[in-house]
Amino acid sequence: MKTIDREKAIVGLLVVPAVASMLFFFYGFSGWNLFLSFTDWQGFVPSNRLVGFDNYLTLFRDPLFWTSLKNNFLLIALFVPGVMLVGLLLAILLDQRVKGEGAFRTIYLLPFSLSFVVTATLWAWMYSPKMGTINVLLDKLGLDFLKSGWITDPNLVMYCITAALIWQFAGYSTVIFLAGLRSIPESQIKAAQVDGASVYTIYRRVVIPQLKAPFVTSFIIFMCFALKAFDFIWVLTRGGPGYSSHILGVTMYKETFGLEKFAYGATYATVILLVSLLIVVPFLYKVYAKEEK
Amino acid sequence: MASVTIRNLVKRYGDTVAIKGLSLEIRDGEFIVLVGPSGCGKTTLLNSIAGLLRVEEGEIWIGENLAVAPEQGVFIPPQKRGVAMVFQDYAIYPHMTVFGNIAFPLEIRKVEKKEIRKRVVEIAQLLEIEDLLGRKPRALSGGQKQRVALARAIIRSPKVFLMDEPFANLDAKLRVRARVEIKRLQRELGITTVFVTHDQTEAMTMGDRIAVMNTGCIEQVGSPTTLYEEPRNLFVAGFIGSPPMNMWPAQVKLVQGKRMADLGFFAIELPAPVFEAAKAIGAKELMVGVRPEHIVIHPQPQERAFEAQVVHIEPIGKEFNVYLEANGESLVATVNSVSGLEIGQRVWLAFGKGKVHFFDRSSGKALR
Amino acid sequence: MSRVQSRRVLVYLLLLSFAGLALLPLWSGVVTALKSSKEVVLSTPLTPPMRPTFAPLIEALDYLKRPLVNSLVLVGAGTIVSCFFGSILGYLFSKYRFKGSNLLFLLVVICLYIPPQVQLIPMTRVMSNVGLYGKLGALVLLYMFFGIPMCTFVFKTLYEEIPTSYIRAAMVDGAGIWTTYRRVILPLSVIPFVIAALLQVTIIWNDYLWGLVLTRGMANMPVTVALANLKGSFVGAWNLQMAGSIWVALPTLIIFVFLGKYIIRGYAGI
Repeated sequence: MKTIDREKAIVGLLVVPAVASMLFFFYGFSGWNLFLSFTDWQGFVPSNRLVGFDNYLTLFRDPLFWTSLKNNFLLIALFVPGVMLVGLLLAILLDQRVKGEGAFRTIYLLPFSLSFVVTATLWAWMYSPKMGTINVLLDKLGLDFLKSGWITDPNLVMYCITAALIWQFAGYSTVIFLAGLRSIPESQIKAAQVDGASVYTIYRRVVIPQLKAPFVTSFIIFMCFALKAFDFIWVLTRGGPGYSSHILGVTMYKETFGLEKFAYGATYATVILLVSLLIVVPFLYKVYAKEEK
Repeated sequence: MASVTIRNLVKRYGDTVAIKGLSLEIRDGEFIVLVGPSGCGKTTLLNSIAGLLRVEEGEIWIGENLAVAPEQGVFIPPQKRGVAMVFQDYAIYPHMTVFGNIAFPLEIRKVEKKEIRKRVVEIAQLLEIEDLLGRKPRALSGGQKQRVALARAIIRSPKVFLMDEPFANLDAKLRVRARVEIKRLQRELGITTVFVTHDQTEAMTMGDRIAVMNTGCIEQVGSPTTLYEEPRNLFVAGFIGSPPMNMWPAQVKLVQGKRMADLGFFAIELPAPVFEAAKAIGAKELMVGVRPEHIVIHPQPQERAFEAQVVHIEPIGKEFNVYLEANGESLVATVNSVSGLEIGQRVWLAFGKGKVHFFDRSSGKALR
Repeated sequence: MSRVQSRRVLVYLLLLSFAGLALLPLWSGVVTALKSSKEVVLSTPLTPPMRPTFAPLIEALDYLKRPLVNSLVLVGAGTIVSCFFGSILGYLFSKYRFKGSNLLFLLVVICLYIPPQVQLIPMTRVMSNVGLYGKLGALVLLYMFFGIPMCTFVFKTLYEEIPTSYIRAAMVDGAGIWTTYRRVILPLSVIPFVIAALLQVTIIWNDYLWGLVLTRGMANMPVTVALANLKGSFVGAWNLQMAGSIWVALPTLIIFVFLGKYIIRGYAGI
C-alpha cells in the first residue's frame, strides 16, 4: 500500500502545481485581463478602480477600433481562404505520385520555420520600393507599369501583408491537406478510376468531399492566427502607413505599451479573446468532449 | 493458490449494466473458462477480478481475502491481489528484451538480482524459451510472444491466472498447440485459472468447468460434458456445440392418449418427466432440439422418421456434415459415412433415442 | 505527347514554380547578405554576389551574439521543462481517464488558442511585482509554462498509440503510476520527446511578442527582438539586415530541413 501511495504523491506533487500554474497562466490571466478592462488603469501606477463599461463604450466610439477591426476582417477574408486554397492545390499536386515529393514538401515548409521577424525583414526587402526584389524583377520582365510603392501604399499594404503571410503558411496548410488526402483509402480512388471517372471528377466528387476535417482544422488554425496576428505586421510596417495596416493586435499593443492606457489595452485584448473563443470553443467541444461516454 | 468467490456483482457503464448481479464460485486449482458472445460481460468480469475495473456492487473474494466490496469501501489494488494476467495482445514491452519482460514483475518487487536471474532461467526452461532471453520482442513469432507473456505471468507464482483471449492472435495450428501447452502448465502448477474466450470449441477443450455468459449474466456453469448433454436453457444449447443444435418449435398435444410434442411435420413422444415439468409451469409451446450427431439418416422410409432432402455434404475430416431440408426448414446432421448419399436425394430422418432436448419456448428453460 | 504526359509536365511545372516562389525571398536574402553595401546598390537583389564578402554576416553576428545566447538559454529551459510536464500530463490524460478528464483536457487544448494579448498586461504586472520585469528571467519563467499545453497535447496524441494493455499489465504486475511511467512509457517516448522538443524549440526561438514586452536591453532580449531592432536602426543597410535574418533563421531552417518529418507529425495532429 505504502509504495503506491508514495507514487501517487510523486505524481501529485509534479502534476498539481504544473496544472494549477498553467491554468492560472492561461485562464487566471484571461480573467484578470477581463477585470482590468473594467478599470481606469492608465499610466505607470496600476489602478483597480472599477469604471463599469466605460472602456467598452470608448472602444465602440473609437474610429481607430473600427479601422483596426475592418483591417483585421480584410486580413481574415483574404488570408484564410487564400492559404487554404494554395495549401489544397499544393497538396493535390504532391499527391500525384511525384518524384522528389519529400524535397518539394520540405521546400514548401521552409518559410513556416522562420520567425515572423525574419519573414518581415525578408519581405521588407522584397517590397522595398526603390530597389527591392519585386520592383526590380518587374523592371527586368518589362512589366514596369506594375511597379508600385507596395507596403508604402496605404491601399496596397494589407494585400502585401496577406501575400507574405500566405507565403509563410502555405507549407503548413499543405501538410494538413496532404494528411487528409492520404487518409482516403486508395481503393476508393481506384474504384472511381475503374468506373471511368476523370481526374477532375475523382477530386471533385470523391476526394474533396472527404476533406471536411482538414478544411475545418485549417480554417480554425488560420482564423485564430489572423485574429491575434501582431509580430509580422509590427516589424514590417508598425501598422503604417498611417493607420492603414492597424489590426486589433497592433492597436492593442500601441494603446497599452505605447500610450500606457493599460485598461483600454485590456479591453482590446478581451475583444480579441472573445472573438477567438467564439470560433474555437464550439469546434473543440465537438472534437474533445464527445469522447466522453 | 486460491479459490475465487464472486457474489452479486454489478458493474455499470453509465446507464448500461454490463454485469447484472452475477455470482460464481471458482474452486481452488481449477481451470474455468468464461465463454459467451462479444459484449456478454466476460472481459468485464475478468477485469473486475484483476482489479483493473471498479464495480458498483457485490463482493469478490480471492482465497481468504476480500478483494472487492464497494459497499464496505474495500478495493484491493491489482498488484496486491496475487493475480497474474495474460492479455490478448500479450502486452510485451517492445523496449525490453525477453529477459527484461519476464523479470519486470520481480524487479518492481525489488527482488534481488541473483534471485531474478535464477527464476527467469527456470521459467524460461519450463516454457522452452531459454534461447530467446536475449532477444527483443520484435524478433519473436506470435507463438513465442505468447510464451513470453505466459512466463511473465508465471514468474510471480500468482494465486490466480487471468487470461483474456490469449489465443486470439495465433493462427489455427499454433492455437491447438497452445491449448495443450497451457493445460499442461496449469495442471503442473495447479494454479487457479480464469480463461476468457468467445470460442466455444476452445472453451470445451480447455475448461474443467465452463461458465456460459450472456448479457451480463451466467447462463450455466458446469463441466463441458454437462453443458453439452444437459444444457439448462436454449441459449446454452444453441451456443455450445458446432455445428449448433437443430431446433424446432413444437406444441404439446395429446394424440391417441399419448403425450406428444408436435413439430407440425413430425411428432415425438414426450418422456414422462418432461411432460411433468412442462405441466408444472404450464408450458404449451416448446422448442425441440437435437444435436447433429443424434440425427440418423435412412435411405428408405422408416417408422418414426420424417422425409427430407439432401442439400449439401461437407466433409470435415473423419466425419461429414450433411445439410438437409425438411418441410421448408434446414437442418444439419453429422454422420460417419455418406456412402450412398447424394445431393438432391430423398432420405428419412430419425432422432437418436433419449437424445432429444425439450425447452419451454417462452422462458427458454430446459424441461427434463 | 499524350494527355497523360502533358498533365505530368504541368504538375511538375506547377510544383517547380511554387518551389521557386517559396525560395525566392530566401535566395534574395542570402545573396544580399553576401554583398558589400556598394554591390547591393549596384546589382539586382537576385544576382549572386560578384565579390562575396562575409563582412555583413560577421557584423550582424557581433550585433546579435548576446541575444543569440539569451535565446539559447530560453530554448533550453523552456523546452526541457514544458516537455517534462507535457509528457507526464499527456500520459495521465491518455492512460488514466478519470471523471472530468475530458473536460480538463478540453481546457488544456483551449489554451492553445487563447491569444497572448490577454496575458500581456497581467504578466507585465506580475513580473514587475516579482522584480523580473525587463530581465531574461521573466522570459525563462514564462516559456516554462507557456509550452505545457502544446506539449501535453502532442504527448497525449502520441501516447494514445501505446496499447492500454501495457499499462494494465504493468498495473497487475505491481507497478504504480510513477513506475509505469518511468519503466514502460518513458523508454517508449523517444519519438514523442523529439517531436515535442522540436516544436518547442522552434516556437520559443521564433517568438517575438513576449520578448518585446517583457525584456529591456541587449543583455536580456531574445534574438528576434534584437533583429527587429537591427532592422529599425540600420534602415537601408539591406545586406546587414539580411545577414541578421540568416543568423536568426539558420537554426530553425536546419531543423526543418533535416528533422522536418518530426515537425510535420507534431503539427499534423493539431
